[in-house]
Amino acid sequence: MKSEQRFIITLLLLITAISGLSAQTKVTGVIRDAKTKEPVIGANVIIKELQKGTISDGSGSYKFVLPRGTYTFVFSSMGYESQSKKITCNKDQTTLNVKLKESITQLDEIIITAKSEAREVREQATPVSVITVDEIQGTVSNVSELLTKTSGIKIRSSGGAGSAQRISVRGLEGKRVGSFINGMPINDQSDFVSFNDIPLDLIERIEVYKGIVPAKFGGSAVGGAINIVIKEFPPKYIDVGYSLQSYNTHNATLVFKRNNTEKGYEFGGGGFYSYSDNNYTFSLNDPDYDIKNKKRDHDAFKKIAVAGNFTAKKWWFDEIEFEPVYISTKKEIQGITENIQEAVTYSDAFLIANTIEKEDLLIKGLDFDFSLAYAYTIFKYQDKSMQRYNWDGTTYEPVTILGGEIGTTPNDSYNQKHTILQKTNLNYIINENSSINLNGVYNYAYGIPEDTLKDAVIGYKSNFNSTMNSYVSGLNYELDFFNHKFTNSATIKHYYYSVNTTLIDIYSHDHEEKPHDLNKSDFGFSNAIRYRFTPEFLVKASFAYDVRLPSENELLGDGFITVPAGDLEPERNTNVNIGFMYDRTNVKNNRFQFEINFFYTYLENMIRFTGSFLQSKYENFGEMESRGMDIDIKYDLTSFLYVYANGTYQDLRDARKKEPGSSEDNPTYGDRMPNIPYLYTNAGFELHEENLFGGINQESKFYFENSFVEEYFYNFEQSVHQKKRIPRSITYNLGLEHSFKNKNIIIGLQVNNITDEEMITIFNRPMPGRTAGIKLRYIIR
Amino acid sequence: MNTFLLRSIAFFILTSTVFISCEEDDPNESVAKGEIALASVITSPDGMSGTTYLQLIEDLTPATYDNSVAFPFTMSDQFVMRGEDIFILPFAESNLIRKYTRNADKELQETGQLSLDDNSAATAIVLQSSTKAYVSIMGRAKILIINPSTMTKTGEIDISAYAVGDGCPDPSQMVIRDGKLYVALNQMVGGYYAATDRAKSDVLIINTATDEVEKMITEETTGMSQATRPIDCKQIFVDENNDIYLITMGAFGAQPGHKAGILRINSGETVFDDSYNFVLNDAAIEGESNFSNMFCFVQYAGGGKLYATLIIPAYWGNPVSYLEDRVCIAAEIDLYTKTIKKLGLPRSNSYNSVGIYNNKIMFGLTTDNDNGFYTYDITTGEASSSAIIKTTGMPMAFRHFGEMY
Repeated sequence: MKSEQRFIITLLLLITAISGLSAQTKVTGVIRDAKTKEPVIGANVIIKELQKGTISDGSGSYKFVLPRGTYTFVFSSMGYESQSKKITCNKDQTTLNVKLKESITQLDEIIITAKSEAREVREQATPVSVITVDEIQGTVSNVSELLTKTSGIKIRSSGGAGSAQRISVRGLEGKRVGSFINGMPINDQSDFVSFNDIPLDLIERIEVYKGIVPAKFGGSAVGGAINIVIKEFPPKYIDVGYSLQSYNTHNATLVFKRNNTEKGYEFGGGGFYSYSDNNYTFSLNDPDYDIKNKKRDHDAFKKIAVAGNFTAKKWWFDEIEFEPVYISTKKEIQGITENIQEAVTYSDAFLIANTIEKEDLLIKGLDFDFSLAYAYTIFKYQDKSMQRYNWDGTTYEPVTILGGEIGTTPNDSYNQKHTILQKTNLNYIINENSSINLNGVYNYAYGIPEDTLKDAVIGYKSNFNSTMNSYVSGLNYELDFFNHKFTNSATIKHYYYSVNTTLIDIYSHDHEEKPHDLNKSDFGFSNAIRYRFTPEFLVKASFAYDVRLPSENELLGDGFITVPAGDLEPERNTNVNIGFMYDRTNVKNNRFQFEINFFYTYLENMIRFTGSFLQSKYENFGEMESRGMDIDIKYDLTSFLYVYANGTYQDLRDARKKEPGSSEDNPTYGDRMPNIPYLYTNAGFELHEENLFGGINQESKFYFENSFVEEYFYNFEQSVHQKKRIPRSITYNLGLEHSFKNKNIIIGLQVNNITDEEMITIFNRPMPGRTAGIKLRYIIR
Repeated sequence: MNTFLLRSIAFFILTSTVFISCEEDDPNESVAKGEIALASVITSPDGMSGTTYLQLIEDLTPATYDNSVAFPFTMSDQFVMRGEDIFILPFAESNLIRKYTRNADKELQETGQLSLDDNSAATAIVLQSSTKAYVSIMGRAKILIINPSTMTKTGEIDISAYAVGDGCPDPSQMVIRDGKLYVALNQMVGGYYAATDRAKSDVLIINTATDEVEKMITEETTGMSQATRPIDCKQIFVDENNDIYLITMGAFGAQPGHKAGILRINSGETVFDDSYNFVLNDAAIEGESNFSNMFCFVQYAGGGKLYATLIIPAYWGNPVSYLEDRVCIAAEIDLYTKTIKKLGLPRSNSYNSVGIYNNKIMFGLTTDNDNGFYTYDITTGEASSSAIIKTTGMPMAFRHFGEMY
């Protein structure tokens, strides 16, 4: 408690220290087509005097906060005549709307270029990669396939659509990597929603933070974070999409939006439906199993999501949004080393979210974001078959007299959970050179697990209700020097976590139920600097000393097979990154981007799941050290040819010097950590041309992608006879996209893994080979 | 155009180089040779998986052995030595029985494989002849009959009718005596425990001439349950008097009323010896103030002397750590006097083993200070002060070619 008090006092002191306010003007506006009145998206807005710029968003809007003075605004966009307007900023707020006229001549390249939000994110002092909308739209793909083409990222899947996935950022994976949608954490809801559920057409960009997780996201992660930013659709919009892929995989999406300008209301809704049989054939490349050419026939996946949206823009706040969501999933469980035919999981989530935004709250320069979400989730795991199945379809006895195909007990679980997530973000722009951000995320979860079938077999109740509370607060101070050439971003975070539940000791003869309460707190800090040598070239350096708190299931186990580990210490990570970035993007959006990062990571108190024939548990087991680099190049070679390549080398080594609890030397000290890719690259090119086949307002795109992952060992490499390896893979994808009517009708075709390469990203979990898909999308604006 | 061409070439070179990587190493196929097979296990960082390394060494000359030329197997595989053959039985992470044979150069070579049904969990193999062997299949309620020379299946015996509480009696360790196959049964129901209300020990008796089950015998007076640990082939044996001794697990000490101990089936009999029972849970241990509730691994040495690693539950930590808690002691058990004496060796975690090398008992111990095989001299009673054979990883098996037990 003392540390919390100290933290609050520190906060107050810092807030007091920034009381010196300077005069500023907020300039906002909307850029529209002079003829159609439609918003112009992606237009450049440049302030000549400050050499500063931005890009209009999905609704044609832009915003600046400027010191008072007189400025020249230059508005430009491809296909329009540029316009200049001089205004004097002497009030708190000024609106500057413009209408751009169509032009038949191309704009000349100009020196000063405005920056998209994606580029602004990339130029943050922390190491981050951004996948932009250009790289997303039109592809018959999913988020995982996009992410895994990014330097430093590997997505490892256990199968086809809907299968379990492990996201790794520079080799750190699982709970160490934070997952966010629009800044809201989703790690704890992985049974109900995953990144791949989000139709690509809804995504504005994907931000991948490596090593440092920005304070504004809250949560507790040390490996990095992935934040998916959903598009802001125009006020009037309908978007319908459908794709069909191999193995009877269907995806359908619908988004619509309507507004009442007078009252400032926006109504929206949408949803998606996904289904796949995932019925591909697999063989195991494992010296311990003789399993060849088995067809997956119990791996169907179905997911449906429906969401609504109501936004009010004139209720004192800038924006108040309410969003109800329902998601339902059914997933059959496919056996790999045994034939499973009946076990299945169901998950349902009901969620209502409210977000509130207000700029200049109470005082000028103070931006306020508030969100509150409540979720009620039900997860059901049913394994109650009264027989087990051989691969030839014949049957044999279940695992117990009460049934079951998997493990040692049957299951008929019905796990309910109530979750409340509240996030508050206050951002205060002190002056042109400094800002401060205070962020707090409160999370409450009340779990009500039940499995009467399992309890009947083992003879006693094994799961108990539990309550978890956590609060993560972060304070970030960003300071610019030397006319914005030098930026320093310092962050401190505080973590608090408490759990109340009931535990039993399976070793005791009476299986006595005991109440169990625990709470933990910790802190972390980071600092990142950026120096811009030229507008295109900058250097980044960062240091982070941060923690990941143990999760609820790591601390509490499952009350039966997984025993509680109340003494678990948080994982502590030290991360150092230095990176160089060159980014030259001209007004024609032709880019040359080059980025190279070198990193060092030292992870202590690593948490792992330790198994035993009787019981398992989570434990802290030691240290891991990692050194590496990633490199990323994107280049528009010509107006119609774009090429890219990236590569990652991450050398993760066992840093445990001694055996657990012993003075004996650890035999794997200094060895490469197994079951983690250490070298992988991606490369590809894209040809795009307007009206290639005649006509007007059409665009064609052809793309080719290559991915390479070097072979790596499943276990520590000790012997020349070791054969358990995840084999080297080289895969190629081809795609074609054609759009009509200014991208209002889009057709996409894609073939993945055209050489039908054996694909394994998790040992003994073969992926589909060659797959093909077609996608149609129709947009009414 | 030239600029474009140059840029294209430059980019091609750049992207191509990232795909060039080292050629795979040509693995050195050399193997160690010798008179002793030893195995050690190294867990993976996930804690759930790992590798057991099997290799041959010449003798007990003090040395430290790495695993560079050892054969890798799964963590739950069991090594059973029969003559010059070592059978590797899959329990939970494999569906292959593999046979390795020591050749004339004293090197191990893989000489056969037999693919099993899923979830078979082979727990024991006993040879009736060079062409007939029995394999107990814990996961499938059957005993396989195989030709161990060709590693082909020749038949199977369905024993599901002898299951109590579910459809599988969970056959564990086996031994052949006087034309009968004695199959110890675990009778687990849900998880690895026997039914709470059934603290009994069952052994199935099969006629090896007809391969038919003659009967199931049950010991139900002492509270001893779950005959023989599935991963220790030495927990049932025939001594020099032609008596069968077998170890019971007693539900790992976790079920009320279930006890670990030793039972006997006398020579010429096919029933338990009612006059002999040795309950571990109630036995005082000389040199140790705490009681034990489970045999971890055992080795019979003749003369009524059984050597074992025993779990002392008082040494479990809170919370339990299977790697750090040194819960096992090395002990000498006199089967005839039913007494237990703690030996002067350090405590180990539960990753340990017991073997025999002439007149020395080889205790594979994972201690506070080292990993490897300590010796206990049966004739002099001297124990080594440290591991004589140091292993890289936790010592999980020691088999000396030619030993009687």
